[in-house]
Amino acid sequence: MTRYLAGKLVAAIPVLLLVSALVFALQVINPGDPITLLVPLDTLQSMSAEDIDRVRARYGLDESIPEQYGRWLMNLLQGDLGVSLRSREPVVDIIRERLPITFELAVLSLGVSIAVAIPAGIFSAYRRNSLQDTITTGVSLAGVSVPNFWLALVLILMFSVRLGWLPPSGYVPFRENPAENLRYMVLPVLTLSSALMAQTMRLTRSSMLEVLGQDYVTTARAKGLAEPIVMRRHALKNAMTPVVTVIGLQFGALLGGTLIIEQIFAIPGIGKAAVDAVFNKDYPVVQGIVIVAVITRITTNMLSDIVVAYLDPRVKLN
Amino acid sequence: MNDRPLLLSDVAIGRESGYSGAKPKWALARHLRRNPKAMIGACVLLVVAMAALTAPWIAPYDPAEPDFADTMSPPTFQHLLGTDDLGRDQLSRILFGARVALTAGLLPVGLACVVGVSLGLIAGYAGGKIDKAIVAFLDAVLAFPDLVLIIAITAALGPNLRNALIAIAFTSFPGFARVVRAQVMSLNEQDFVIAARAVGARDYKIVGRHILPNVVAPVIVIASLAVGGAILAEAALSYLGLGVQPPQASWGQMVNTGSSFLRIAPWMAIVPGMAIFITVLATNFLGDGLRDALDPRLRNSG
Repeated sequence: MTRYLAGKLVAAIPVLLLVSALVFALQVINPGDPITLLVPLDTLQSMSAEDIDRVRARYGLDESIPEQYGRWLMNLLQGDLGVSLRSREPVVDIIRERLPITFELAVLSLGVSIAVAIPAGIFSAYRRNSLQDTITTGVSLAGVSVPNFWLALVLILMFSVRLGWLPPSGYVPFRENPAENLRYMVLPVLTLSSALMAQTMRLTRSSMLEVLGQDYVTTARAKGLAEPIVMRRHALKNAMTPVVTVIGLQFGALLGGTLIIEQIFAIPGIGKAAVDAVFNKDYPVVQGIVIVAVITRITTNMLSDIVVAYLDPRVKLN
Repeated sequence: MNDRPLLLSDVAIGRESGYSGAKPKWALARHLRRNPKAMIGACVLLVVAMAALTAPWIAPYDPAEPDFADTMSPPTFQHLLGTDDLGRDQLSRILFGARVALTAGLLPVGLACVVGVSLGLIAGYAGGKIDKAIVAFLDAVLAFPDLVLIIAITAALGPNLRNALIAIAFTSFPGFARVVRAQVMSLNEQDFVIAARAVGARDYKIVGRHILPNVVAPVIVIASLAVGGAILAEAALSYLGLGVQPPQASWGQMVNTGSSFLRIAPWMAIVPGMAIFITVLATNFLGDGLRDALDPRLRNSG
């Protein structure tokens, strides 16, 4: 297992370097002069040419782009993501403060999705072509087609405006009041988990169908094993490998979904910080959050690879 | 035939279904006709496409013309889908919004398809160092969550529709490249490719005549499923205000405007969102149908 992991890590190095170049490129492809982002326009007009050059030199903007990238990468490797152009706060602090909020949202959404989708998918495969199966497949296709920002508004309209059961938006820290915190999380979690549920349900169903058609399941049944044991021991474990991979991918992609959902529900997580930074042209913050997104994605992919290798020892040999 | 990749020609002669009576040309259409989901999807998309094409003639009002005497009117006979906060006719704006949605669905996917297929062909056929470099690049792009990268690129280039479409294309091409590469690598081992090589056919001829026609089937499937994702991505960008800029109408942006008036005029946000939902659902129905028709082995891959 250690060798398998070490191999994966080494293979990831060139990819990570390319990723860092892409993230750095985000500030290079900006068509404007970067100095306009650093200094307000009216100040800029009153500054002399030497002053402007001094500001350029201070931020390293007088260096060539490869030099700037090298310095940026060195800082990055030391955990320095720069400072926000707006608040002058270190980007690392902004992320540290807001990441736990997004993490809670992501974990709850994924948890709800798994708790509903896997049993539903298994049941659906087991009763193939039943009414329940048709409904499940239909719902899951709808789930991947619905725009999540719109679903969020529909849920707010139903549960907050019409029924008045839940708050339409806002956030209460978990440490202050856990019950209220969860009440505020219900609608965002429902919104985010719907698309995840749809994917997981579809995949569980099809993976289960495939496994149930395998010879070893027929053999297990033929030798008289009770159906629950056939399902649990023989079918489930094998059917779950692709599902685990996809759940890992989903967690890695969740940050994309939280960008919009946090905006709608006014949750002060990393997604809202990213969207605010985009509008403020605060590119160090945008870059920092993109890096967090990439690291999360790569880490979760690796974790799911480990689980898959554990579930299916054949994987390691390849 | 289980060990070789499924080819478009198999479907065309009905080999995978054991049916071979009809003209090969029509086999795909016949498959789709037998699939009610795909037919519903195709019909809905046809309606959306007609709406987009004929919007200037069938729209009852000018989509950008405000009418301050009749703002936020609920659906009436004058305004079938109501009016927005500036008194603009919602139906007309949705009809014109269909143009943006379809452009967003087709252009980036087309671009991603051309770039992705080319890279996949090169990587799969050339192998070696070129293959390694291309794969590393694809992995790097795939390391970003789609929407995060789309938003970051659009924001960096400047928020407008063109840049949004570029960003969407940039995140979709690795999907094409990966599948084409895998397909080419297995085609490389096929007898007809080895035979072509043995008689001394040049590389461009082998790729163009023997390999390219056989990657068409999976590419059509991926493209059809990518269209829905692209429409959703544009809608999300326009919702955030990073896509289409006012006064041009886009469904995502209409939902955003409506979200401020959810209590007093819920139809403003609900109706355009419905339009996004139905259009994306239709493309996914059609995509699922195409996948079932073109590659029965993919049916179980979710």
